[in-house]
Amino acid sequence: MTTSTTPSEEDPTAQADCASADAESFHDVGVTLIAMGVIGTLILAIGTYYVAPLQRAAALAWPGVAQAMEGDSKLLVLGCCVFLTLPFVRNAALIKCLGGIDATVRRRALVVLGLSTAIIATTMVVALL
Amino acid sequence: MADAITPDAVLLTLLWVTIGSGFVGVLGGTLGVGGGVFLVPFLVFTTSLRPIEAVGLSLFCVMGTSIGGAGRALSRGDVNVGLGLWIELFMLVGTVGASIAAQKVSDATLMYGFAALMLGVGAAFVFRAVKASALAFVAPQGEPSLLDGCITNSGGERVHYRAQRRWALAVLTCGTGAASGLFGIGGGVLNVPFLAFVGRVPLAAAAATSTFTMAATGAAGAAIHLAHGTVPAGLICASLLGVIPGGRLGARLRERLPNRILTILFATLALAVAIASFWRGANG
Repeated sequence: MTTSTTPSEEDPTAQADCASADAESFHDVGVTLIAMGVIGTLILAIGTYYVAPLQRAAALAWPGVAQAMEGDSKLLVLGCCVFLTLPFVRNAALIKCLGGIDATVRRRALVVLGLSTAIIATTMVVALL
Repeated sequence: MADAITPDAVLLTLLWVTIGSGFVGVLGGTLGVGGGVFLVPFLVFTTSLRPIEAVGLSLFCVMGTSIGGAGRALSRGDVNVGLGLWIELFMLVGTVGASIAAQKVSDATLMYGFAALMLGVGAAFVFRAVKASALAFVAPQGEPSLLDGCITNSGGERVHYRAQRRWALAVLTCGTGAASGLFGIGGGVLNVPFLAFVGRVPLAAAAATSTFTMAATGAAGAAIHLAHGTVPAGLICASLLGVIPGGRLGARLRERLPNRILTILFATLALAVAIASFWRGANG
C-alpha cells in the first residue's frame, strides 16, 4: 500500500519503533562521534605541525618541491587510527540504543551489526597489521 | 632532495589544499551531494597527487563529513538505523573489494571510470530532481521490521514508513560501496535516489541514513588505502579543515537557491568533470 501517514493509535508497533528512534541515547551516539572526530582532527593537526610528514605530503602534491621523505610521524598515524576506530565506537554505542525495540528486530539488528563490525575489523587487521 | 623543501612551499601546499577543499565543500554542500565527487578531481587536476592518492585522501574526508552530518541527523531522529545497518553491510563488501582492486588499477583506467561515474551521478541527480514529486512511501504493516523508520514531516508530525525491496537495495548499495572504494566518493549521490525510488524511503530519511553509513564504509576503504601507502597523511587535516566548514556553509546556501538552478549546476559540473577526467585518462 502506498500512502503517507501520520502516527495513529491503530499502529502501535510503528509507534514503539519510532519511540526507540527518538531515544536520547541516539543523541549521545552523535555527540560521541563528533567528539571522536574532533579529537582525531586535533591529533592530525598536531602531527601535521611537525614538518617531516608535511614535507612528504608537499612532495606528493608537487614533486618539484622535493622528493618524498620516508615514513609518517607517529602522531599522524595516531590521528588516522582515531578516525579508523569511529565505526567501532559507533557500533558499540548503538548496541546500547537498541535495547528498547522489539526483540526480533533487535536480534536482527545485532546480527547485521555484528557482521558489519566483523568485516571492518577483519579488513583493518589484514590491511594494517 | 628533502632538504630542498622550504617552509613557504609547505605552507603553500597546506593553504592550497585547505582553501580548495573549502571551495569543494561549499560546492558539495550547496548541491547536497557531499564533497567526494568534486574533491577527487580538484586534487587530481590542481596538484600532482595521483588519482589513487586523491581517492585515499577523499575517503578520510568522507569519514569526517559523515561524522558531523550523522551526529546532527541522529540527534534529529532522521536516521533509519536498522536500514542503515542493512545497507552498510553490503556497502562494506563493495568498498573493501573495490579498495583492494583500486590498488591494481592504472591511473588512466581510474580516470576513465571516474568519468563514467560522473555521467552516472549526473543522470541520477537530474532523475531525482525531476521525479521527486512522484515519491511516496509505504506505511508499516504487520510485524515490526528492521527496515521500519519514522521522520518528522514539514508539518512537524512524525510519520512512519517501511523501506521496500531490501535485496534490490542490497545489490545497489553494494555497487555504491564499490564506487566509494574505487573513486573516493561518500556515495550519497547514488544511495539517496536508490533509497528514495527503489526503497520508497522519504528523501530526508534517505539522505540522513546514507550519511550515517559513510563513516563505516569510509573507514574500511581508508584503512586499505593507508596500508598501501596511498594516503598523503599530512594533507588529511588540511583537507578536513576545508571540507567540513565549507559543507556547512554550502548547506545554508542551498536553502536560498531554487532546485532548478541546483540541478542545472550539478548536471553541468558533472558533465565538465566527466569530460576533464576522460581527457586526463587519455593524456595521462
